[in-house]
Amino acid sequence: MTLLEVSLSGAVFIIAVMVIRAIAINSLPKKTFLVLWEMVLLRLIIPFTIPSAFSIYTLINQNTSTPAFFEAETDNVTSAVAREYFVMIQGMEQPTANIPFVSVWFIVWCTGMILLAVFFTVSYLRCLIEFRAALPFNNVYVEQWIKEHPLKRRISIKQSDRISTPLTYGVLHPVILMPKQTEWTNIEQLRYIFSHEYVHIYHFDTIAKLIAAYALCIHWFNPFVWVMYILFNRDIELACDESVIRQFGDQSKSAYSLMLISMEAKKSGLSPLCNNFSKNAIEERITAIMNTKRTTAITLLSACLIVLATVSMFATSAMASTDSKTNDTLAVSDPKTNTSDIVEDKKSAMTIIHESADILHYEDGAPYIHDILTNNTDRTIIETQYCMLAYSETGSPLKLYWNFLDSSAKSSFENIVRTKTNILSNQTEEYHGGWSLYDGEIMEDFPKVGNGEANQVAYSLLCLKQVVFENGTIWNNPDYENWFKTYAGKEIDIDRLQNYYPYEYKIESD
Amino acid sequence: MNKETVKLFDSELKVMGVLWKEGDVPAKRVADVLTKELGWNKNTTYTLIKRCIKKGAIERSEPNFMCRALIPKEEVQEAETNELINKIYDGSADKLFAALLGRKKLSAEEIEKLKQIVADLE
Repeated sequence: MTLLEVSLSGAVFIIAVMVIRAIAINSLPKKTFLVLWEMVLLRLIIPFTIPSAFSIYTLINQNTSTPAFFEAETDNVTSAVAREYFVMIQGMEQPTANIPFVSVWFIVWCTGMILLAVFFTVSYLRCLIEFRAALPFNNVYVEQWIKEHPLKRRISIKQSDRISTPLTYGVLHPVILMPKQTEWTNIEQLRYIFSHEYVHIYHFDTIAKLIAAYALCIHWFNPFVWVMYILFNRDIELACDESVIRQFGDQSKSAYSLMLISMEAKKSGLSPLCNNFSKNAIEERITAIMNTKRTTAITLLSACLIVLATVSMFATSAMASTDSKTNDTLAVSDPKTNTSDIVEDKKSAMTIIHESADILHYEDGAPYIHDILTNNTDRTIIETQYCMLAYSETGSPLKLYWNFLDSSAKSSFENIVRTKTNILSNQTEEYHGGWSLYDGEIMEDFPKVGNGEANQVAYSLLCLKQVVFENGTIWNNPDYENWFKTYAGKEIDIDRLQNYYPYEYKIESD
Repeated sequence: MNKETVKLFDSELKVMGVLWKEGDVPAKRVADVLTKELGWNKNTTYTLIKRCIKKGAIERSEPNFMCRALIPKEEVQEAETNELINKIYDGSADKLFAALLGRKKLSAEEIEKLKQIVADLE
């Protein structure tokens, strides 16, 4: 799966959780939503697909290819990043002859990711400097509380005049930081605050937030991931409040809510701009606390069922059944297309096609072979191995210094190349550049190769030897040896050279 | 150099406290005292010394990064809480966005409304 596909399926998953959250926020244990968000995070971060018969992608499965917009983008952006399948062709290893092609989208995506990561890091480090300068605080109650809440990690409590509401930082050495104005004698309030922060520490919420921030950095272009990030952070608070209420009992709800409200009220406003977002958050939080109910067997069961159903529907990909060869890429286009015909059609015609291999020239006149593949299988191609042969205008086979930058390389009729690529199912490859050829007259800056003559290549015949698919299957061309015997080093009719493409490879299904 | 009142945070006051008590000392000495007293690491102390220099409360001279208090204890005012840290850090993204978008203190009405919610749901 490419990053864009992961992001899209992640967005669908996020929408599903948002809907469940909107309907059931006050009737299910808050932990339910945390589990759901954590599943969303896994979906966004781990690029694996887990096939499921219940997946919505099985239900709406179809074999129409993704729209061109996505193709162009996924081709370069994602693979390169998520799994380093850089769209790289062999010829690029000769840097002076070719201009490496990096997609504009890739650069945009990288820039956004780096900016966001820098923003998070700098904000955190700036805060850390302030936190480190906090002053230790101790009184009888604090000492007693720490004794009553032993944890493998040592919790310390400090105070600072740089904050206005309590917070916790640090994973290995957690610190509960209290504002200077804390009423240190108000034991009831201290109990609630410490318990709340203790739950955060106990559940390693800092790490959960960090992972969410990481996912946001990768998927910064996806607005639904931003929504997820906000709601996940809110739900961590809600789940934390819920634990505190469970611990202190129903009668604590009002006191706890009123404490939160009074803390909100203490905050000073810096800017006159009004923003409803955080206001709604506190309202949602108060309502959630007041509505906290005891977990019954029924709510627990329904929570489990909802998580199970949602995850199996949205966190998975379509099941690729062996008989129908369904497509496991994300289908986003017209759902009305009659899918059964296409499936039938495809089953009988799994092919890869060499559309063409043209002799093109860079701006400086340097020649190269540009070949184009179409993937008509149901899987993504990630690697190809193929043989190139070259012929003159009259159809004579040419011995070439294929690797002309390597002075020790000898000339040969054939050139066998292994290339990483990323051609989605039903997609035609698109890239710039190709295999550079030597031309002694134009490429004067290069060391002289052979007798330094101009490029003679007029035709190039290519044949796939091996194809590696994303799912790990490998196809070896059974006709390859035959093809090699027929063409390598032989005079070939011009007619035959001109009509060689498109060259079709039949891929038998497994 | 600076006769106006200087506003300092508690942590900066701790740094000044060392100078008021011990007179002119090298920065390293200030760091050592505060490590012992508060458990700070020396970079924290150095950062705070730099801030005090910027605010005109400390003057630095070579060699050894000697620190001298420029103002007496009586002329210092407590600085006001800088809300930004809470907003950026406090984990909650709401606050991060609030910090970016700017945010208003809850009005008395809004607080009343929240209290009403508590009363209604009780």
